[in-house]
Amino acid sequence: MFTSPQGGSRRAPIHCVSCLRGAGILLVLLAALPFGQSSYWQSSAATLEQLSFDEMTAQATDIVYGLVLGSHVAVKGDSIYTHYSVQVQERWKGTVQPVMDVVLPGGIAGGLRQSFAGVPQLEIGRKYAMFLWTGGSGKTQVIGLTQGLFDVEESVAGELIASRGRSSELMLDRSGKAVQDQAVRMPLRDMSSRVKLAAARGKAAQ
Amino acid sequence: MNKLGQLGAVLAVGALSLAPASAYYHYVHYLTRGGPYLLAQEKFDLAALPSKTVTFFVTDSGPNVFPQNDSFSSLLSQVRQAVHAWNAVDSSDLRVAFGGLNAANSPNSSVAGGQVVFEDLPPGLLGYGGPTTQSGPVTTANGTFVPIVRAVIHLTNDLTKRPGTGPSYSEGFFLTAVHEMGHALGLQHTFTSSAMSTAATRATSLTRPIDADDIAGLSVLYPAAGFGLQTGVITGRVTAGGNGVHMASVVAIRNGSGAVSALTNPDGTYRIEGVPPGQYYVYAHPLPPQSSPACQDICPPYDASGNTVAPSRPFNTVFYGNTIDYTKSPTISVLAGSMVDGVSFSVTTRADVPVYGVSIFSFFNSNVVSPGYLNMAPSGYGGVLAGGTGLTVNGNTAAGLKLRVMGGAASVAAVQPYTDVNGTTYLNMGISYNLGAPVGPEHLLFTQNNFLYVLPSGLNLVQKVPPFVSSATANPDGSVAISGTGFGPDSSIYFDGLPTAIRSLDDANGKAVVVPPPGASGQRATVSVFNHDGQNSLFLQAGSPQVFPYAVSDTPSFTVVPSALPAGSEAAVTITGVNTRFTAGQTIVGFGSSDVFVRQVFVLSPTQLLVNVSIPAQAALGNLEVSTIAGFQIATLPAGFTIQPFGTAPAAIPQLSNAIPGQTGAYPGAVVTLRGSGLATANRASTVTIDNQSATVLASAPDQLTLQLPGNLVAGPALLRVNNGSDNSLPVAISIDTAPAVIKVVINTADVLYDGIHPARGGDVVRVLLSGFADSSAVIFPTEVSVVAGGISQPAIGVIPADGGLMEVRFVLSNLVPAGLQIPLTVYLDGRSSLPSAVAVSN
Repeated sequence: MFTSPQGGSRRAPIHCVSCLRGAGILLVLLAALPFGQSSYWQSSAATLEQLSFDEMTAQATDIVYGLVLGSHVAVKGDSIYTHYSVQVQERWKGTVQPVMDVVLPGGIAGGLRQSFAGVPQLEIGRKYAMFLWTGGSGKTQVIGLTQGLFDVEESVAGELIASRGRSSELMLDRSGKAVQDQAVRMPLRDMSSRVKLAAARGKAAQ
Repeated sequence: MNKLGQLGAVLAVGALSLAPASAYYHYVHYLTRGGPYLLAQEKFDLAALPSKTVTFFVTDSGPNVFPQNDSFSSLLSQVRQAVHAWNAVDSSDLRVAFGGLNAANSPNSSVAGGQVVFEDLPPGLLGYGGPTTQSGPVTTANGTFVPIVRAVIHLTNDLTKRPGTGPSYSEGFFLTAVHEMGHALGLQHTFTSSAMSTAATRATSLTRPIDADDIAGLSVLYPAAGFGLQTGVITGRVTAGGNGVHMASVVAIRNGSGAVSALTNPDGTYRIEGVPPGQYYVYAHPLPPQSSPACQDICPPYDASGNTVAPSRPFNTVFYGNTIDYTKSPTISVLAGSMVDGVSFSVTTRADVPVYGVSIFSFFNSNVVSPGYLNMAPSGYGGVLAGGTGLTVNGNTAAGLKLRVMGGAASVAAVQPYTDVNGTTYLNMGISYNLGAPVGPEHLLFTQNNFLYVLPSGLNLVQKVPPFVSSATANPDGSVAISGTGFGPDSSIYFDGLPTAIRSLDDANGKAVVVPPPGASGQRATVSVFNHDGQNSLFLQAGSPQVFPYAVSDTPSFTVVPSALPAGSEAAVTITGVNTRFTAGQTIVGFGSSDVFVRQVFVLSPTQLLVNVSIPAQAALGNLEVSTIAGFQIATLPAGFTIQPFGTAPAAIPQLSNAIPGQTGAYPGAVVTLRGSGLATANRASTVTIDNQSATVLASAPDQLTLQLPGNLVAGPALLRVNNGSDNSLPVAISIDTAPAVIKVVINTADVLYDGIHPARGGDVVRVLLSGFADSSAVIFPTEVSVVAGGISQPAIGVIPADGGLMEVRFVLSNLVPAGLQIPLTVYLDGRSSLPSAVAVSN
């Protein structure tokens, strides 16, 4: 069967198509099947898993609205990482920490350039809403590269708007199907409310 | 119509270098601000690589979590096979090797290389990879380019994460390894359904892991001698309103075969190189939408100021002749070694790209496979699903959308929308096949109003069901009996990521006996069968594949002697194993760093190896992890090898070349050259011993000796040592070849010996009888054999056993062979020469 980009039911209905212009008689019987058991394993320069807003909220260790103060580059093994100092303006989830060290892969260090398709760059002096995750390595990274990063700009009406463009990196849904990402645009206060609501639902479910 | 007349001249190869460089789909830095565009590509510096080889390593920690029946051994086998796929591109001068494991804290090597690492990736990110380059172009004797100094592939350390991270034994994991490695070598995405396409449209398989576009892309970056002579070039320009269109993808495509493509320069010019000879349709299409000027599907090129150059606006896809109907497009005839110029397009810009990223799915039991496979055998009809942007709107087929199969093999008989339980809508396509439709890839065309989207190789027509493995049973002799259905004479049988040696194959009855690769202790290897049509048994058995359990065995270990060598060394290292199962052709040895290049591994026994290593003078000093991988059996020795400060001893490169023109092989008594450094010093005689026997030094220079090998050497590995009059080299292992074949007689079809009275003439069928050419029971194909007479190479037309243990090689004497009583004649079998003889030739 097919599952939605968000996962969802795994019922297995049988779907049937009958058709042939003029000639007849083709019954194409297509069982709707779980991509989850597929050998359809995918990649690109970066491979992303599509996450819903609620999933990002649940899996983020920190969700903040913050100002990028500066950046520096660090080399770890064969990898170059760009570290951004982000001054927290609002914290919607996570620990109390006035300035966060947010790490993105790639950068220029020691005369070398390491760049990966799909990895965003933050601009110093700009404000972003960020869904962040700190793993066992201690690095705080943006969830799903561009998925968890939103530009914040003031609208003509004076309202703060969070938005991000469509990622063109390969994105898979939970069942492994390639899916198209969608651009996101919403008032920052709505995003804040949705995060808090989702977090509350998550706590209630525990 | 006179296509060539419309296209302009077919230009000679000599003109190729005058054409503007192609943007292709490499990582590009423009050196000029306007046309003709000169560019620097990001690529490895072949001159700085040992034997032009880039070596990939895998971090020894591996992933933390594996799916059931998956293992680190399996994962490594896939990386190894991916390396093999790229290394097999003969038209590329770059060689690619797998260097085994290394420790995360290994010293940074001085030699460029590749690395696969596993790490805790944040949610929503499954993996990423790309090259690390110097920040700007350099100019060397090999041209101007941006050197890749490192390539890193980051994978999640939890292979159970769904989607898309495992199991490693799946074909998909292998194709991903091939894809990511392509990025590491300098290739960007392409839109031809080749290995470098994103997986949404990729149509490669384990039996055909890379396609024509991948081969062309790599060969353009690292062209081997003769690359341009075997393939053709198409050039032209894409314009909109008279202005050049930047980053249009121009694709040459033909029925039943892969496509080859290039991207346009900022002025709209393009150049598709590496096109196999044939008749092609050519079309220009826009890139999928990019949400930002940063790296997306394609990292845009940098201009001469270091700023990225954005693509032009989207446009309507057109075939050459500015039509969306390919049947009205003139075909382009591509000849080897020639260029077709003037294949230009005038396109109409538009606001968006309405259709892109289409995947075709077909269904096997509980599994979904992409691209689609349609079995023509049972009914003449079949069905697949199509999913992608722009195909459907609100649960219905997009208004005006029409689907078509390119060529006459199949046609789209019906299309209906199908919405799954979660509300995602696909197109259900009924396909009918025409009588006599050939097996192979079919290209799909989607048109919506005036917009055309071409999906190369979206469908594969096949003539039978996928294979199925029903059992894998160990035989007492160590072989494994495989049974199942859907086998063919072309079947390959794999245990996890490694092919088995097939001892017997009864495809009609679904039975095979194979010799499996050495296994890891207790490993449960997934057994899969791959047919040449691209189908494999995991199509039917993805959820519950057949598994072969290897026996539990003692932990392998080994020692290394010597365990330290100075930088600047060439040396043979002996590895002695305990509980190891070293097997010829299955054993990888790595020293944890690109600074230790493994030239050759000699398997002396299941527990002993002789390994030639080469360490550059500038190598980073320090301790390295040594690893051996025999089949799936992994053994490591942390800090088992040390690079010490630079040494001054002579260094002999263990590759002997026959010094006689036209001759090959280093056999007992042969005259050979030995290259290296410090091999001779002024006013002192150099000496050479091979397995403690003295070789005759015929000529000497610091970087080269000419030797005559002792006549009583035994074929096989031998240790060579050089003394330059003051210092001894470290021993290196060389391979002593068997004695060459001897030409006994050269006769005509009437058994008359060619001589001054009966000379051979052009057009004669000449029969050459040889001893020591090959075992009389061997099956030798004429394509393996060539004959050089008077400097003219001619193919054999037959190779047959003859009386007295001789082999007879027949060829047709070329009219180009010069006349003479003693025209030299040599026969080659797979590149190995016979001893020369002579034949009388008359005009």
